[in-house]
Amino acid sequence: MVTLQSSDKRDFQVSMEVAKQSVLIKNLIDDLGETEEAIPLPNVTSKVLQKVIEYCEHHKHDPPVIKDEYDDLPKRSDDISPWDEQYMKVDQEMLFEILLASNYMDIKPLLDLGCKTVANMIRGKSAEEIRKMFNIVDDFTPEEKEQIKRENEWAEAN
Amino acid sequence: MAAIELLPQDLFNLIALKLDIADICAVALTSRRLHKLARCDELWIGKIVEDFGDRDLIVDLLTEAGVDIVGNLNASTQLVPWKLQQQCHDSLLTGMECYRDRFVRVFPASGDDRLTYARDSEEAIDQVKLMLRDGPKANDEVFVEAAYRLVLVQEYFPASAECYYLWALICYMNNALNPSTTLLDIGHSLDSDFMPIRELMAEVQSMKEGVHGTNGDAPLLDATCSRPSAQLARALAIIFQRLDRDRDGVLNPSELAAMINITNGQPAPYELVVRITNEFGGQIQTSGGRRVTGWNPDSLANFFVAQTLEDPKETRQDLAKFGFDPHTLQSN
Repeated sequence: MVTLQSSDKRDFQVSMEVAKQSVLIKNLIDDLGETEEAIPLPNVTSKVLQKVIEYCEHHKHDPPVIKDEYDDLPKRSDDISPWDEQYMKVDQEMLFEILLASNYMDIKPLLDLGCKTVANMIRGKSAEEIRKMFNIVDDFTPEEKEQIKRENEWAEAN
Repeated sequence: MAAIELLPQDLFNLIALKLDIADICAVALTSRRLHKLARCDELWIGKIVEDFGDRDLIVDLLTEAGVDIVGNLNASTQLVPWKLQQQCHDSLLTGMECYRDRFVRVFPASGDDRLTYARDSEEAIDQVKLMLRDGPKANDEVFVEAAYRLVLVQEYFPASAECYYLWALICYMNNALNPSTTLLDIGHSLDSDFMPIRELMAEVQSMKEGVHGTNGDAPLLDATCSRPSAQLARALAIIFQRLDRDRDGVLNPSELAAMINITNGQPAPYELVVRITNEFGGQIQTSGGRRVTGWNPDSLANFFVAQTLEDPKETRQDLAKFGFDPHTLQSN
C-alpha cells in the first residue's frame, strides 16, 4: 500500500497498482523505492484527490496506454465510456480541478477524459453560448470584437 | 477556484486540439483571456500537425532510411511554415496565420484552384513514379528529390495515401523496413482501400520475417537492417576463419572462389569472383603487412547483409552449407 497526502494534509491509503497510474508517483516510487511515509501532493486538495483515486481504482486493470508514434486521425471525443461519462458529471470547478490534478499527477487517460469532456461542452456553440456555459464575462470593446471577427473570417467562410 | 479562463496554456491547448477551427475561433471571441489562449502560436502549429500530418515525423523516418530532405525543406519557398521556430524567425506569421495559409491550400475556396492543385499534384506524383522506376539502384539524390516532391504534394493533399505509399517505397528501396512500415501504417489509416499500400505492407512484412526470423528463428540482421545480427556475426566470424586458409586475415580471390563453390555447389565463374571481390572488398592489408586484393571480415558481413536483403532464405541456406543450423545460426 502507498499513502498519498493531499494539500490539506489528509492521508489516503491506496494499493500500488492504483497509485502507479499516476506517472508522477510511479517515477517517485521507482526512483526512491517503496516508502512507509506519505507521498505529499501539495497541488491537490483532499476533495479532488479522493475523486482522482476513484477514477484510478475503477481503471486499475486497464492495459497501459501506449502512445502511438504517429496519430494522423482526427481526435475523437465521442468515445467516452458510460462509467467515465457518469464520473465526469461534476460541477465545473471540480471538472477543472480534475484536469489540473491529472495533469500534475500525470495520469494521461484521466487528463484525456477531462479534455474531451470540456471539448464536448464547447463544440458547435457560439461565443455567446460558450460564455453562458462557463460563466465568462465579455470584457471586449466593440472595436476589439470587430477586429477578432475579421481575423476569424477565413475559418468561418469554410 | 478553477475555471476555463484560469487554465494554463498547455492544458488549454490539449482541449483546443480536440476542437474544430470554428470552435477555437468562437472561444477566441468570448473574452480577452480566452482570446489570448486561443491565439497561442504553439496551439496552431500543433493543429497543423494534427490536421495536416506530422511532417517532422516523415522527415525523421526518411532520414532514418538515409534519405535526408532537411536541406531541401529549409531552402524551399513553396511550403507554408509548419514549425514554431520557422514561423517566429522566418516568415513573421503568427501560428494561426500559418495554419490559415495551409488551410486555404488544402481547402481552396475556388473550384479553379482545386482543379489546378489536383492536376499539379497528379503530374508531380507521375514524375516521382518515373524517378523511382530504377528501383533500389537509383542514386541517393534521386530518392531525396522524389521524397521532397512528395512533400510538395502533401502540402496541398495531406490525406493522400499515395504520398505515404511512395515515401514508404523509398524507405523500402533503402532497406529501411521499420520506417517503411510506419509510413505504410499512416497511409493505411488515411485510406484503408488503397491497394498498393496493402501489397507493399505484405512485402515488407515478409521481408521483416525473413530478416528478423519467425517462430523462434534467430534474426539475420540487426534492427536497422544495415548490420548482421549478433548471431549471424558470430557465425560469419567462424566462417571467415575457415575460409582464410592461409591465415593472412584476408579472403583472397581463390578463397572467395572456394566460398562460392561451397554455397553454390559448383565452381565459381571467374567473372563472378572478380565482381564480388571488388564490390565488397578491395586492397586489404594482410596480417603480415602486405596489401592484397580481397575481403576483410567487414566485406564478408556486407556481402551477407546485401544478400539477406535480396533473399533472406538464401543466407540461411548458405549458413547450413557451412554447417550452421539455419534456424538458430549455431554451429551443428
